[in-house]
Amino acid sequence: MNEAGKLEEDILKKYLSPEKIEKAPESVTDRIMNRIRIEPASGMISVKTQKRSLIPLISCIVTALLIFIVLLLPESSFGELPRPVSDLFKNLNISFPDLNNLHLPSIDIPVLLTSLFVAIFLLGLLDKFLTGLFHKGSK
Amino acid sequence: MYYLYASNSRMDYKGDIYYIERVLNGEIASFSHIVDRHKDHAFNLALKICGNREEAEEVTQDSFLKVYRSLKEFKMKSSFGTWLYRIVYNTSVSYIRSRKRGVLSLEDFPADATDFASISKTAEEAEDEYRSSLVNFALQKLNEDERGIISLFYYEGMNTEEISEITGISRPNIKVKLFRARQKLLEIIGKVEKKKLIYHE
Repeated sequence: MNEAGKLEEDILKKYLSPEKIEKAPESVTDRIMNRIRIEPASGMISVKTQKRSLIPLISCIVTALLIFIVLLLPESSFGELPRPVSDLFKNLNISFPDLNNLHLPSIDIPVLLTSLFVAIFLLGLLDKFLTGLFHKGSK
Repeated sequence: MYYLYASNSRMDYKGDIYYIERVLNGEIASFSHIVDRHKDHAFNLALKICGNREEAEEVTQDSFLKVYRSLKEFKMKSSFGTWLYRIVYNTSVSYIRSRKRGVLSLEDFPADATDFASISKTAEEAEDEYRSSLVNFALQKLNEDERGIISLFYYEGMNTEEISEITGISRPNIKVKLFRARQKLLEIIGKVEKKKLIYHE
């Protein structure tokens, strides 16, 4: 930069320096926050959405665990479980094979499919319960 | 100690991220810290582009609202300051383009700092008011891109690369616009100062 350029730059810096920035009115923060409070909370929505997306995942894991326990544990081991749990599995076991004997002779429903119907039912219940729980927590 | 440091540093990366994460976790009140940290610089940029305080305040509010709405889209690894400036710059330019205003004449500007004496406590303050008004007046003779570029370059001390990132204008083009804007400003300031000298004689 030549001498004339430096001089011009000095003149401009006299008028346009970082120390001369104009401050926002004090009330700006309050006004912005008031507008934000009446907005649908977008930040919150993302958190809620994240939480809600966990619900089906948790439900799937829990239901899959229940099914695998029923399928993998030998009959004799139910006796070692606490009474309410073993009662639940015994009851589930009773209801499973009956679907095969419906009046649909040409369709052979595998045992796993009946387990899936039960799983869907349980999943629905669990989903409702967890949704209620998370919804309550986010209020 | 951390808070003291954070509040004193405009572009403090850790401080911004800290509050952004709190807002995203549902603590809406933490957004006021983000506003407090950046409002003066955001307002100044909007003011230099828009030319008056009322519009600048409206643009500042709108910009922060846009920031809040899209906060979850902000990439934590990038600079919050640059992102915010981009939003303020775009909001200001859109605002200016949506309204029409008559071209200001040199006659519209008061000839002397004494015109500002009634609103200022000291002669020094009156001189500052005069210069500030002269700059705002001169900036209005430039187009909105040039105003933004000048503000970011002189008030925010940014280089052409940073300005290019904010405005979306290529770096060589920034250099050209900056050069032209400087020349225009000097010309306007020169004319007003000359008018001031004639006024005193």
